[in-house]
Amino acid sequence: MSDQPRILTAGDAGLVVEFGSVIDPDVNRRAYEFAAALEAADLDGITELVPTYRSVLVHYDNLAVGHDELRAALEAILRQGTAPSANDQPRAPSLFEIPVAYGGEDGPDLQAVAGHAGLSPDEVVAIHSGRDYRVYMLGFLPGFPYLGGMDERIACPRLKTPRLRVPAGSVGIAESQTGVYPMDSPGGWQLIGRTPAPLFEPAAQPPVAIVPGSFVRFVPTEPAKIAAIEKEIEEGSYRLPSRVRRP
Amino acid sequence: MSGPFLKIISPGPLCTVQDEGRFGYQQFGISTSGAVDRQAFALGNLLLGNQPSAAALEITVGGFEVEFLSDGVVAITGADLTPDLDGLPASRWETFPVSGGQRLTMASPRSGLRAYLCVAGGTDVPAQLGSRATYLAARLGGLQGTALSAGDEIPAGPVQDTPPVGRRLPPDLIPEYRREITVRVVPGPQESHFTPAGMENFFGAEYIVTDRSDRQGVRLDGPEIEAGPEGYDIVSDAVVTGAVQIPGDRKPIVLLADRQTTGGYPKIGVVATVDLPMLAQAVPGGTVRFQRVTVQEAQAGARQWAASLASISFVDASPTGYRVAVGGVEYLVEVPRAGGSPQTAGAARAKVSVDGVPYAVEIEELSP
Repeated sequence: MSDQPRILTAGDAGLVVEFGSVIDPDVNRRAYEFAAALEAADLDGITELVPTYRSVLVHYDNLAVGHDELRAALEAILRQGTAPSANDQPRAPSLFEIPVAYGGEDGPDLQAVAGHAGLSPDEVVAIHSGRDYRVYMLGFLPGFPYLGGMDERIACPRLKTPRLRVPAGSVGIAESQTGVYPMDSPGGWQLIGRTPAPLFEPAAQPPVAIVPGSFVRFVPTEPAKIAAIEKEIEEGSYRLPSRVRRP
Repeated sequence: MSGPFLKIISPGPLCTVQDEGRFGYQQFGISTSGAVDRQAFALGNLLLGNQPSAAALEITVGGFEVEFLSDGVVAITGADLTPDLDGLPASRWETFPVSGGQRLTMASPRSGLRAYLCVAGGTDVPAQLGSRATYLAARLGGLQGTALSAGDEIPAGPVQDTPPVGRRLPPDLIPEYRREITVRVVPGPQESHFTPAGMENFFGAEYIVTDRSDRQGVRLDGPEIEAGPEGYDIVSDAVVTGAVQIPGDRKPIVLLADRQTTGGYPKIGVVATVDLPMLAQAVPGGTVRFQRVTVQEAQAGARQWAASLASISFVDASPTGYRVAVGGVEYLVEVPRAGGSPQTAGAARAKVSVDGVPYAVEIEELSP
């Protein structure tokens, strides 16, 4: 992908720097690299950056800096490029291992997803937990990870009628996306399992466990192990397992 | 933190603690929340001499009653929900003292949708992630992250200086909330997704505010806004407050304070920041028209508003005292200096105080 980035106006207090219009790891990486470069540049008036699948939204204080001036500054940073400085290799991303109880009460739609795919529930679990997912962005709810790269064989449409309450930790599938609900919420995704791991903790810094640019792997976990993890969470000693992911 | 300042007797349909909003966490999917009408909210703090970050109660539509548990100074801004203090009309856009035991109601809306009960020192609930704003979907901020309910007690924060009493907003800064509004919109970021006919409808037609509107957004009904071949779904990107999304039903949604941080619908435009309060106060059944402006024009509007706040000169509405002798007995009669109560031609209902005791007084204009 070598799309020229575009700068779009998002009202009188926002500018969008867009690197593409598709879900693509390279486009996503460019967005996050640009956000990092912009943070380093420390421009006046910028209040918040929100990187996404394919763009960076720059929120700014329009009394501190005008649209024309900020747009010119962003263009200048884009021209400089975001090439990493000479001596640093791109850092290897983290891989978070999320323990999941698949099926049963924790995954009420596992049978339906298997039926739709023409596979057994065990096969769906094996496929879902058999690869690493890139975290493209967080959105929808605090700490809700948009994960890319799910196997198309287990893709499944959303529920016709969304549930009024999806329990926190539910792992779901919607079309060819998969994700985890960090908190109780209404939702229409097909639920195949549930993790006890807390993904959003307001008192923590940062308040979310999984950050964009990292990877996630779902680990099928026996009920006894889930119970042990729940006990650790209660005692405050639990940490979501993570390691450096080697390409 | 001091003892409780007020107790909720009836919250009405939705009453929450709100402030300027929670910033710096949108990259984690955490909405900014905060007061939907930022102007009315900010003016309340300005009147009281509060920090801009002080929190207030956001009251929706009416059905609201609180009892004050201790003495303090408050101001009511935003919608006119017919505020009433112990049976007497309470002033809006003006600071006034309250004492323990008094009850304030906001029963029914006369104009606008959301009122702010601002308190000298701010409503002091614990801040979470740097803000007291209630974010209902994430159960964050406010009182345990929830809407307030009957029996909840809210403390007021400490005040630095003696809060001003009878300080009133100059008339030219007091907004009027109308049922028919026109708001300015900067096109983009996805205006190119829409057909010329779609753009013409959006900027030409009148849209009706539906009752499916809430703190997340104002949902409108009216002529369909047609997208081109790219359709009504985009790969999700981040959104700003005031963005006008066009989802698959082709009817606009204007995003407000509790909007999500990202969205998968194309945005035809973004409402100018200074015009957002009109949408924050738009009542179901009211109408909205969208007027195209450039980003430079919208920013000039923002600067003009900031300048008018910077050079604000408040009206002194503190009561004037008169010594009145009736049958040889002298009374101190205090009359509000600037009328805070609703006026009708030839008659008025006002609050006067005689030797410190408040009375409701009907004033009738006598023919000459």
